[in-house]
Amino acid sequence: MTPVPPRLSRAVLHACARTELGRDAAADLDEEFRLQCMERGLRAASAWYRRQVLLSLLAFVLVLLRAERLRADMRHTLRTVHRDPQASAAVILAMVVALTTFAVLFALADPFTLRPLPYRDADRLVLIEFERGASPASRIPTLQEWQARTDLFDAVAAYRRAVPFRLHTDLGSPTFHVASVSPNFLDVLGLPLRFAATWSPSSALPPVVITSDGETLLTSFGITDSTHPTLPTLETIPIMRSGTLSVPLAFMAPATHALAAVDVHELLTVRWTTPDQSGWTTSGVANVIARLRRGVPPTAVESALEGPDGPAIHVVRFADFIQGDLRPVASGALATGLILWTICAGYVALFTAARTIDRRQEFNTRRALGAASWQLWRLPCLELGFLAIVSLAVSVLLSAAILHQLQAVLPSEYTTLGAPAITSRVLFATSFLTVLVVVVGVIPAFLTTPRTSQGWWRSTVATAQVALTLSLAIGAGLLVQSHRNLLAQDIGVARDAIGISTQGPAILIEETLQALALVPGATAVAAATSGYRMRHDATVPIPMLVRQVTRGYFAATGAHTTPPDLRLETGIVVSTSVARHMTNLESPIGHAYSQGGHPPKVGTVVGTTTDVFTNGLARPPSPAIFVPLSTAAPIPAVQFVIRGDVDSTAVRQVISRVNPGADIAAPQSLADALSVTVRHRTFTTWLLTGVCLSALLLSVASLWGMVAFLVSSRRHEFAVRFTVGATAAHVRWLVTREALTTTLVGSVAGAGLGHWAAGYLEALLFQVEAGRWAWTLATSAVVALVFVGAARHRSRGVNAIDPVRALRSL
Amino acid sequence: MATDLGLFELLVLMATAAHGNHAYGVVIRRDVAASRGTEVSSGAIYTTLDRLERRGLLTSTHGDPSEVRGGRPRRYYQLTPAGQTAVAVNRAAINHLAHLATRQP
Repeated sequence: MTPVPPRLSRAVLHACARTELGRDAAADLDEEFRLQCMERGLRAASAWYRRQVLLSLLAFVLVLLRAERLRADMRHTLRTVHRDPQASAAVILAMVVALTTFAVLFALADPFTLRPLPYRDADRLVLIEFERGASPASRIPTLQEWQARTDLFDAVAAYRRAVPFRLHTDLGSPTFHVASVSPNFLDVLGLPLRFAATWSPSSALPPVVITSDGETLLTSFGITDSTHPTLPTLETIPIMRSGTLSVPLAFMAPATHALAAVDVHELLTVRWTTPDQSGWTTSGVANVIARLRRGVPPTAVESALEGPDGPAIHVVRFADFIQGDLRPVASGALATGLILWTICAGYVALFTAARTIDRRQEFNTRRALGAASWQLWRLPCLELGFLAIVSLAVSVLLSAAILHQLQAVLPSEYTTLGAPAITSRVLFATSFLTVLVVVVGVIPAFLTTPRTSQGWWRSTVATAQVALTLSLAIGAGLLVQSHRNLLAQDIGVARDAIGISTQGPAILIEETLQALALVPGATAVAAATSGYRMRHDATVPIPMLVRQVTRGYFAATGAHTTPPDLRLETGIVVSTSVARHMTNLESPIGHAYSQGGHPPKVGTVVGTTTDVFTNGLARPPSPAIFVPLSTAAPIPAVQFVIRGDVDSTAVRQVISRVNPGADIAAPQSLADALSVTVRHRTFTTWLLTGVCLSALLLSVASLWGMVAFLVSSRRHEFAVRFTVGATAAHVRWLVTREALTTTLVGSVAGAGLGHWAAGYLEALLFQVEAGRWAWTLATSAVVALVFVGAARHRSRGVNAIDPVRALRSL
Repeated sequence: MATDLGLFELLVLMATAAHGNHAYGVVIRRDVAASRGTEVSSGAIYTTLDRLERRGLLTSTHGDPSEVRGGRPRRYYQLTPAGQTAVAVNRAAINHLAHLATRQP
């Protein structure tokens, strides 16, 4: 396939390079791009092409600036800008607001919408997920069995999410998150490893590959040559190969520092059994990532692999897995950025038109001295170009600072493909929009110079701005209200309950619980496994979570139970939603529960408990059943729950003392843990609210500009009116009336647009009805009042009109 | 004065001379970039070539249209006698200075 240069860059170059010279340079770049592809690969060639386009355009601009006439024009431009500093500052401010917002939104949204995934042939990558079938005995296939299906896959790899490892070095023992992967993992993703030492397959030891985040790992230990296999060893896995990747692998876990390639059998058949008396077992299954053969659709994989007794299989496109959740939000953010740009362009157009009218006399003089029309048009172009360059420079700096600050509050989903930053793509898109602002902004100058001063576009632009701002305000208001509802809901656990996840070879539950009960301030303690998901079982035909918990678990978490003093060790507790499916509104207490299997595991329901939002606040609570966890035997992973006003450091010390060598996570409030799950939604809400405020600011400035334009363009008419006896109040009303008409029409259009667009926000809303007209009308009224206030304020400009001078300038 | 050239102009002129009748934008750009060890834009090369042509040091002719160039022909540059003189004079000056520099203790 013939490599194609980046389309946007190429289009911009061909659009800007209209001269013979420019066309030759563009053709050269097209030709050399192919050479670069062969020498350095497509990615590097594309980056080179973009750089070349930017530098070439800069070179052409510098040549233009050297022209004598241009220098004189620039001096004239600076004088003009300086003559009316307030208006110039207002334009710069408007452009900075719009361009900065766009740059930030583009940096956030680009990886999830426009930019292709940084993996080779990413559209052929799929993830295969398993769900245990009706029979608990159903076997999950091994990686080799997947790899044998060469009719479906080119290659299959597997990975497990990152887990903490302790690194022992002379400089200390920091903890790093290491993900387990099959040795061909990077090959399936198509990621080259830079500076990698050769690893011999005959080596008995598995290799460790340091990912891009490992740069920190390498440099923090003073290792400059990463091919040198002298890295400190991990606790259990010696490092045999090291290198860095250009692409982060954050999709495996946000804090992935290294990859450990391990035996594939172990990877897919990891199965840990709780050696208690109940016989409940859990198993951990790796994620399988496959590269489909060309022409094989993902749906064909499901139908080809799913058997009647085997696990249920879901095939998810890798792009959907990484980008799917964020794609609608990112697309919305991009659209919002463009709306802001539209509002800004409208404002700039009004500004240029007003200024051109103000300079009508100057233009007439120049024309009388022999200046051609294009020479007159060049002046507004240069003036606007100067303001745009200043605005662009400020916007780039400001957006870089904002993105830097955002890192602290950015949900991890947004960093899956790397932290957002001002890349060459962001610079390019923002510069392109800046050029477009100038192009759109000078069109009114062409229309109004030198004879015409009226334009239907004036009211149309302002009306559209009011409408767009109003629709954004309606959306932002709904999201804020939704978010408040979300945080205020009953989450099913007490706010003072703390959870501490603990992993190790053998966690002693009974001893730890006894020690925790003695921690000052503790009122209840318990332990629970993280559980496993069942597709359905013999009694309840819905997917649900099965968790093993110790007695006192419900008291420790603060969950309500029926009866309040239930004895879990004698049976099973089901959540409200499971109970509903079991007995259809009747109490399930005393009913038999069967998990199926051979022989079936049967128990009696001894109580019910409220649903807990284990999937996060934004999603419906997961149906769950709770079975007794024996405290007699140690297990490898458990979550301790402690309630009361306790010192979290003391809690960790207690667990560490009883279980030396265990990996103990930082204690976290159960309520906080659930709140984290809506971090993405919180961020989206505040982002849209910020954007909405920017839009409001721009639109108010725009309406203000429109009124200023009205005053300028009708100065002579007002002078005549003053001469024949009109009062200032009467003339002000004439100006305000036009602004009111614009606001009214814009508000009606915006209310309709916002009401319609709110339907698309339905999926993001929680306990808020998107289609409520009362909300739409209330928002419209508030926004309209702001606009009317701005119009009234600017209409005072008519007081400054001197009838004598105005009529003399006719 | 034809010999009054900037360093970049001289590099472009010498790269053009090195390729004889086959000097065009791509090869000149690559040679200049290699000699400087930094990225050089195609736009900078062409604006310089244009300037040198207007100063009478270069002439240009078009080749055949090419598909890889979007149907545009290559523009080949050749040194004029004035251009050849400028290259010779500057080369001699550089050689002389280099010789002096190597003689210094």
